[in-house]
Amino acid sequence: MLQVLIGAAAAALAALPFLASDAFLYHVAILIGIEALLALSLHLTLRIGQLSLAQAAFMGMGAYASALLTRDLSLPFPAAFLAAVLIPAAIAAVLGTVILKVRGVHFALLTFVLGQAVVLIFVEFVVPFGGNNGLMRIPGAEIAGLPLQSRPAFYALTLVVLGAAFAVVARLVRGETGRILDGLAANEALTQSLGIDALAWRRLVFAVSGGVAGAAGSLYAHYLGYISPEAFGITATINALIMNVVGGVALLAGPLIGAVILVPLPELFRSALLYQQLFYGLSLLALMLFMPRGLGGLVVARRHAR
Amino acid sequence: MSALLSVNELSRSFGGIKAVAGVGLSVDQGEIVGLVGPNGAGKTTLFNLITGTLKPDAGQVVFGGRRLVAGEPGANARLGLARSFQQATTIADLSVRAHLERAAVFPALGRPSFLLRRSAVMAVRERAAATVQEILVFAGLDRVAEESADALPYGLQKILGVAMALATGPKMLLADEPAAGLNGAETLVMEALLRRIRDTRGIALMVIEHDVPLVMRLSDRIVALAHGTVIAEGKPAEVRADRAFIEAYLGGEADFGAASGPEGEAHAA
Repeated sequence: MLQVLIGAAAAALAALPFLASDAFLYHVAILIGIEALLALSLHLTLRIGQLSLAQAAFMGMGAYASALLTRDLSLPFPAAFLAAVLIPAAIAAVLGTVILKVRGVHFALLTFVLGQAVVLIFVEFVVPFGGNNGLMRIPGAEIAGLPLQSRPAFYALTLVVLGAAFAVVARLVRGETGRILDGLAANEALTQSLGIDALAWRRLVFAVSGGVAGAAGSLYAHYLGYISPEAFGITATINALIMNVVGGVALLAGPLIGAVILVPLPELFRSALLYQQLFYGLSLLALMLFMPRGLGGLVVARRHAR
Repeated sequence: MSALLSVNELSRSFGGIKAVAGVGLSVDQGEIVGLVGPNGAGKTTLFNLITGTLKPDAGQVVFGGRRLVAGEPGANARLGLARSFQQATTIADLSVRAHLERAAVFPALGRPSFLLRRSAVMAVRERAAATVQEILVFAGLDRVAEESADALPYGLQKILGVAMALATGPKMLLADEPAAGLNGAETLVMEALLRRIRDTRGIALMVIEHDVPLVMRLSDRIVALAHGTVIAEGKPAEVRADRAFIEAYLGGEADFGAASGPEGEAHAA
C-alpha cells in the first residue's frame, strides 16, 4: 500500500513539469535528474562499502567524451552518449582492479586525488579539452534527426535515462547479485569462503557507477551546451554525497529523494541571498541530528513499525 | 596414492615474526588430520595460507593436483576447499535456510562473468532447494531452518558454519576450532557431525582443535605445530607420547590419554 502511494507520488512529481509547462520548472527538473544520476553513482560505491570521491570526475569524462565526439567528430548523439557511459565504466574497471584493494578512509583519499588529477588533465591539456575555458558550442541532443533540445523533450530524455539507470542499478543491488554484495558488506571472509571473488564483484559495481556518472555527464554537456573543468571537482561529488545522506544511504531511492530536495533548495533561499549558505547549512545540520537515516529512512522506519 | 592436499615449505612472516616457517604436510582423500599446537603456533595462519586468504612469502599449496593461487580464496573454495571459522559466523539477520541457500548458490556465481554461463547457473539454482534441505537434515538443523541464525544458541551457530561449508559441495573441509566455546553436549554433537562428514560423504577434514582428547579421538593423524613449524606428526597415540609435543603444549609432563570426556565446559560461559 505504502509502496503504491510512493510510486504514485513519484509519478505525479515526474509528470509535474509537463502539467505546469513552466520553463523554470523544466530547468530545475532536468538538473534534478542529472544530479540524481551522479548521486546514484555514488550510492553504488557506498553499497560496496567504499566512499568514492572521484564520481564527479567520471561525470566529467562522460561530459567531455560526449561533447568532443559530437562536436569535433560529428558522431550522432546516441553513439556519443553510449561512449560517455562506456569510457568512464572501462576506466573505473581498470582503476578498480588496483584501488579497490584499498579500504576505508584511504580509498576516499585515493579517489579524491584521482578525481582532482582528472580535473587537472581537463585544465592542462588545452587540446582537446579547452583548458579552463572548457568546451563551448556543444551540439544539442537529437535522436534519429529528432531534436531533443527543447526543455520538455530534454526533460523526457532525462527521465528515460534516469529510469533506465535505476532499473540497471536495482537489478544489480537486489535479488541474487544483491545477496552477494550484501554478503560481502556484512561478512567478507565468510562470503569469500563460499566461493565469491570479492574484487571481481566490487569492480563490476564500481564500473557501473562510473557508467552512471558518465551518463549524467553526457546529459549535462548537451543540456547546457557548455562545460568547464570546475564543474567536475570535489564540490560536485560532495553535493552528491550530501544527497545520499539526506535521502537515506541505505535506500536505493535515497539519491533521488536527496536530489529532489537539495537541488531546488538554493532557489528557495534565493530572496535572502546573504543568508542562503547559512540556511542551507542549518537545514543540513538539523537533518543529520534528527534524521540520521535520511528522509527515506523515515518511510522505512514507519513500514517496520507496522 | 597421491595426496588430496599437499603443502610444501609454506612460510609467512608478520613484521619480524615468522608465523609459519617452512611447513610441509599432506592430507589424503577421506582422511581426518588434526592440527594441534599452543596459541600462537600458527595454526589459523596456516589455514589462511592454504585457503588463499593470505599470500605466503614462500612455498606452495597443491589441491586435487592443481596449484592453488594465493590471494584468491573464492577461486580456491570453488575448487572444493571449504572452511569453517573459529568464531560462529553468520552473514546477517537471515534465517538458517537463507544462509544455506547462499552457500549452495554462491560457488556458481563466483565472478560476474559466471552469469553468462546461464545453463550451469540455472542448474545450480534448481538444485539449491534440494541441496539445502538435505544439508539441513544431515546437520540436524531442520527444526530451526526458519529461525534467524543470529538468534540461535552458539552451538547451533557453529554447526551452521560447518553446514554452510558443506553446502558448497567441497572435497575437503578445513574446520578452525569447531568445538571452541561449546559445552560438553554440544561438543559431542559437533564431533559426531564431523565424523559423519567423512564417513558418509567421503570429505577429507583438517581440524584445528584445542580440545586435545576430542582431536585425538577424531583424527586419523595428528600434526603438531609450535612457533610456526611442525614439531611432531603421526598417529594420535604416537604424537600423544611425543616429548616435543608435550613440552610445547604444556611445558612439561602431561598424560593426555588420562582425560576421557570432552573438555569444553570452561569455555561455555
